[in-house]
Amino acid sequence: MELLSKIRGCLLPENLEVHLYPEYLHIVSFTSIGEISTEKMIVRHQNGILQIKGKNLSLAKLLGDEVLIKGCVEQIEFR
Amino acid sequence: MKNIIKIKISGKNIERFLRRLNNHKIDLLEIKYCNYNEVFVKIYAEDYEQVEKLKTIYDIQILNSYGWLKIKQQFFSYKIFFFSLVVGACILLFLTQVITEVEVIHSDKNVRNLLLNEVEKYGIQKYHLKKSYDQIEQIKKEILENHKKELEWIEIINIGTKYQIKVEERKQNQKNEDLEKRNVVAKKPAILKKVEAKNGVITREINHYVGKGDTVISGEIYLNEELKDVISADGKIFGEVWYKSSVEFPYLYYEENYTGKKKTVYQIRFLNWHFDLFNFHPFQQSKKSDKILLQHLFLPFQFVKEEQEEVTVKDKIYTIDEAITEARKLAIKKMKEQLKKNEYIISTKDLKVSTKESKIRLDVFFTVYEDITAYQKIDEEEVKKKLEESKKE
Repeated sequence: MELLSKIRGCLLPENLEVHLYPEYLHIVSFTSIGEISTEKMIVRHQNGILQIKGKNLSLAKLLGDEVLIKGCVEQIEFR
Repeated sequence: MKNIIKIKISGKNIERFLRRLNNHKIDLLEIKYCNYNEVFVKIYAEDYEQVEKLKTIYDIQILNSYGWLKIKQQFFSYKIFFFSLVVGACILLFLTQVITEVEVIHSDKNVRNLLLNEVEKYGIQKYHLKKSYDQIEQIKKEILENHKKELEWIEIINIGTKYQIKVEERKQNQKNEDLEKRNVVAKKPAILKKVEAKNGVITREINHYVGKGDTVISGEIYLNEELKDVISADGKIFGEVWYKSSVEFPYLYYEENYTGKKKTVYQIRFLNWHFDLFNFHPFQQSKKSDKILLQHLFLPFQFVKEEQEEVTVKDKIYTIDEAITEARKLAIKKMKEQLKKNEYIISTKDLKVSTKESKIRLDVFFTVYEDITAYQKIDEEEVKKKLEESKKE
């Protein structure tokens, strides 16, 4: 059961997930995108907003509930 | 494999547009910023319509496509090429099924013609479609059935667009029609040079003289001076035969021979001059017949059509020695015309030369190696008597 719930959680994530990589930031299960600029991005989720600050930020991919942000991420704030 | 297109979005505040697209559940698979007011985006082809509706002040331009859409576009842009390829392949396939040659491998012309006519009835001929393996087998079977007496085995091989037919004749042992008792005798007086006996007893030796009708291979078989049997003797006799021939040859010799080559030449004739038109290889000697195509009383030239036949002319005056040589050649030529395949002239000798007004007469002696085989029937009653007498003894 635990395994199944893990698999289900992997395939159909319900909660907000943020994955930070060297030059990318991957966010899953957001609701909408707020501000977009090269230094600041705001991503809205079910329970609040996520503020990302950095340099040369840009959207690399924007799917239904997944976004890939490219650039140098300096600060991530959950509000 | 969904169809994906790459579009260029240009305008102010592109992020706002991207947010709008995202709010309308349009997936942006790849976003690349060209500059601050231009961006390349990859979207699903099915979403393009909606993007067009949402664009408002923004410019949307399709740059490329991926997936089946791309393949389809490429196919239609090269449709003529693909169509030609397919048509060409079909034509090639069709041509490989067409027979271009039918060959029969056999030394006998009659057998070759027989088989060619037979296979033609079954559709195996030039510019017809090839047959399947089963059909070929059936055809072979039927041909052998129809020609049981002449043909032993037949094979039809397909080599590319050619049919090669190999055949073996049925060789029946010919019944010896001549079962009558006989001897092999000389048909002319000659000196025996060679005796080939298949059946019978050789009664004369090589280099011995035989007269006309003399027995050389006997059909009577003796053992210890007792006549045992009489058979049908068989064989070949070759002998040296003597001939004398006379030939006349003129001192003044004129001969015309047509080579068989003909052509039509158009000429312009001006007074006594003749100019051939397009006659780059004129005959050295020829017989001509003219037809005037164009002439006029007040015009000094004519346009003529000439039918020319090539001729070789031999016109010579011989000295006595030359005439004798030519006469000898003529005599040998005439003698050779009478000889068969295995016969030849052994030697010649000039016997007498006489001159007559404008020609010479040459008598030539020939020794010729010739087939002098002849057969002589042995009387049956005599045979019976001889056998009975020998039994009594």
